[in-house]
Amino acid sequence: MSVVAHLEPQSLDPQLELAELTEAALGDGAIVTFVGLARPESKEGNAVDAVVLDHHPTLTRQSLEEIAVACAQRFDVSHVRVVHRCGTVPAGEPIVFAGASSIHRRAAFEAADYLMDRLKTEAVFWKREVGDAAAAWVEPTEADLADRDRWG
Amino acid sequence: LQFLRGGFGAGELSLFSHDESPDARHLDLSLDDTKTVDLAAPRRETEATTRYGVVIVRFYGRLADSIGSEVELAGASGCSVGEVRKRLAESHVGAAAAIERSRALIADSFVSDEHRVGECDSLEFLPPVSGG
Repeated sequence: MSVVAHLEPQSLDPQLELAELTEAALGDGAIVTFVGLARPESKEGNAVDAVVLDHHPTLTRQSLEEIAVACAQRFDVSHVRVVHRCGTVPAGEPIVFAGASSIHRRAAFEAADYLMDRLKTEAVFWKREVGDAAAAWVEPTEADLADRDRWG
Repeated sequence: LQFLRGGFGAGELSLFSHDESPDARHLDLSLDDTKTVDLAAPRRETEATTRYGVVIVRFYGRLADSIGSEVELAGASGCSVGEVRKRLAESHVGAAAAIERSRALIADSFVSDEHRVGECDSLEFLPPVSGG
């Protein structure tokens, strides 16, 4: 069992993260991963050049760790890996990697789903979209909160 | 700077912005001894220093955008978090709603508005998080 939760200020390479998870998952039968990208367009249809993720020097990392550990405890998974960007993420670039491995696929699917539902609503970030329109701070949507609440 | 252990009143609170933001140039502090310093300075990662009753308050997200990442409050040590919150909201009317919605943090622990700010405390205001 391993749990990795990492806050990345520079760049996030999903291929590298998958390779790390695959190497750890020897003996497992399934790996499920999710890669989130910085969207090039806001909900209002405005062009977005970059997403800026403000973070707290200690609470942000703690929130990533807490979510990853809770995932490992909740599902029958062997390995959990969460890597999240902070700082300025240009549109189109990876902003989050969330993955889990397990002996059978169902647990890995559920674990990745759980990770993202909680990361989208509870990870300690303050997110701002920068583009043609005035910079806008983003907060979780009702749908995001409903998705998280599925897990009780 | 004035050092007033036990509280601050009108004219006794000084704010020093450490961040560049459009609103930072239009702070309505109404205080003679207010000055703007080092607007580009990054947020300090170490414990805040307190000198002569000055408490450093840090902000995140939309609060940092409108107030600055840090301000120094003279005479704030000994005040309750609620008193500091109220004065900040009065000084930054445009950010008052966000200040009201924010949680206060001291030494990585959330504190209530009744909590008294000590001389060596670093006080942080965290707006509701965006999530990742």
